[in-house]
Amino acid sequence: MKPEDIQQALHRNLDRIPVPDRESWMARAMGPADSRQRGRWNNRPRWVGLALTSAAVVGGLWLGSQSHSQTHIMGPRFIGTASVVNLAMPYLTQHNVDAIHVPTFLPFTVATSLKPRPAMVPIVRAGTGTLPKLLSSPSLDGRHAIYWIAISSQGASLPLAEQISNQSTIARLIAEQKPWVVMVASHGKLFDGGTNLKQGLFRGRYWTAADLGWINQVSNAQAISWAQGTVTYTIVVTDQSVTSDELVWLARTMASTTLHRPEAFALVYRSLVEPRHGKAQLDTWVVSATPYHAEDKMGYHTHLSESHVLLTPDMLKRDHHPLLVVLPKPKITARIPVLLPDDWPIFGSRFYAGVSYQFNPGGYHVSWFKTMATVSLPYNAPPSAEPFLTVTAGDLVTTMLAPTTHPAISLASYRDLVQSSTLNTPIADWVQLGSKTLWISTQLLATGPVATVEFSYQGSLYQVASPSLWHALSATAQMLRLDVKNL
Amino acid sequence: MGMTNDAWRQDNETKLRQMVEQMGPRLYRFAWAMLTNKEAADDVVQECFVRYWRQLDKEPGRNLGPGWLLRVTARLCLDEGRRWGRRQETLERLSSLGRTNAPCDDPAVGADQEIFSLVMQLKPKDRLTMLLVYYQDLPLAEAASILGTTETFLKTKLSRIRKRLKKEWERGQ
Repeated sequence: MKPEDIQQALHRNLDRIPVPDRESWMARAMGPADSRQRGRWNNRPRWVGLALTSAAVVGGLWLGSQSHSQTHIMGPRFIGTASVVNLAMPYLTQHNVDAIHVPTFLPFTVATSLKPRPAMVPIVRAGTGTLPKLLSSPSLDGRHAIYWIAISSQGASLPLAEQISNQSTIARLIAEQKPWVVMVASHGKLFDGGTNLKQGLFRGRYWTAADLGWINQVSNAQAISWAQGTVTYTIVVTDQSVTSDELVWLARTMASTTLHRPEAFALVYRSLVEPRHGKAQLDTWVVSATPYHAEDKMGYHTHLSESHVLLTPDMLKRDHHPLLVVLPKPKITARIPVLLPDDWPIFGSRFYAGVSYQFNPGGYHVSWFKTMATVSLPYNAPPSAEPFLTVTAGDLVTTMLAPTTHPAISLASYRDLVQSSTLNTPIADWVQLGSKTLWISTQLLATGPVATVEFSYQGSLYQVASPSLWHALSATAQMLRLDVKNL
Repeated sequence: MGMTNDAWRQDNETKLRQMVEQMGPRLYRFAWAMLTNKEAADDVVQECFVRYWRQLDKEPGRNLGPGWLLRVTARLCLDEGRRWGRRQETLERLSSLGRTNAPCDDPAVGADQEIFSLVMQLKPKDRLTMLLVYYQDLPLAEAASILGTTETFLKTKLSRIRKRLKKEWERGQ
């Protein structure tokens, strides 16, 4: 980094900081504590000093005792990769639309400990719709799809969960919008180990119906049958932590879906709030987005609806004005803003992440945008905005991964190839990343590089693209749970 | 023949006014960059001018220039920063940044903001070094003297910090 860049950055940013009234500095510098008074002060009797010292000690002790009760909240610091999405959104029973809900991954970089680390924020849609058409034959008689229902151990006690012994109870719980009911569609094997939704998968926080002693008599001992075509719920995810694996699994089960309309969703961020005094507290922010329909506009209202710690007066004041976001027309692509707190400390400035859903049949496409600008509302993302990370899944129109024809090269070798590449000539090869072999292509365009990592996971094809190979790789590594030390 | 008391005071007041006008904004922004809190920065600058006024009275013949004020401000900032604790400071700094930065669509300015934020994330002593050299534009010898180090050591330190910033910058891209 050049000294002149630093000089320029410092001057540009610091020189515009407003300066307080200079007269007050003058007045206070020459004020009552002028030199004569100080002279007299220096000649004060020793007992005055002793008395004041004692008073200071007593006062200090008193202040010390008071300070424990003061909790001055300074702001949130987001922790780790534990950002989670809450989908406990309304069950819209009256809607009868041919739409189901698209789960999406939002890989992005979270600044923790002042160093950027990759993280995944999942968004899973909830609402009413017909059950997805399964790609494979459902089960035995062809009239049933296999669905999984799990109960969160954190949302419901075991005795309560054990009462769930029949289909009508489940239907009732779903109708009551219990956030701890997880229900997903599946076809065939979910993981190599079998189709059982194991406790280990959800880290013991969920029980499957099988674990509850309720075994449905369809094809699979651990599955529950549900009549295909029933207008019912699709997915609800609890607001507890969910691992990437679990989300990939959820996404895969819903990969062939189409979304036709904006639907309510909510994000949950877990944040560490550090008070001026006392221990840091873990807080959960719930940012909810509800659809907005007026005249010919569609959009979302977003607002911070819950925080146990941070509902300070400032925050409440802000919350009185829910943000309105208008979706652009035509509704081919909707950019749904993810409202982050004002002081989101990514790269030291405001960070805006937008999600772009492409409603192509049988797939989805999510883009993350980073901008240094404050987002004005109502917001319409500029069409020229370049995403810094895009994840595409589902029916990809690009070439399918062909079988490996030669051994995969190392990441270092691949980087060398990219460095020696020429403008507009894509460099593509199989690259070994941890235990996986990925197809990576990078093309140096006049506007900058574009790196695309392509991989298959559980039978679905994914593409992660970014101007930064590092971002694309780290998002991929996280989706595949690869422990790669040096990217 | 010496000056009368009133004349001394008048002379000192003129010097103080000149310094407040000339150095006040510089010192305030410098203190803000160190403390990232406007009240604390205001306090530090105020204290600095109080000390300046006192010193004028104490050593009338001594030439107390901008370097003296910067030295005092730097020490006060480090003391104040230690009192607050680095973590708290970081949090406040980050939230202040959000309030201070104006909206900006210009990529060049955006890059400036990122560099700025990286500098602001440095440890207080490293930040102080960068601010003295790259914001206050002090000659290396003078900056080294304020930091209580040698010019050679300062050069090495600057180079190390710049490398670190570059690395962080590249990671963030």
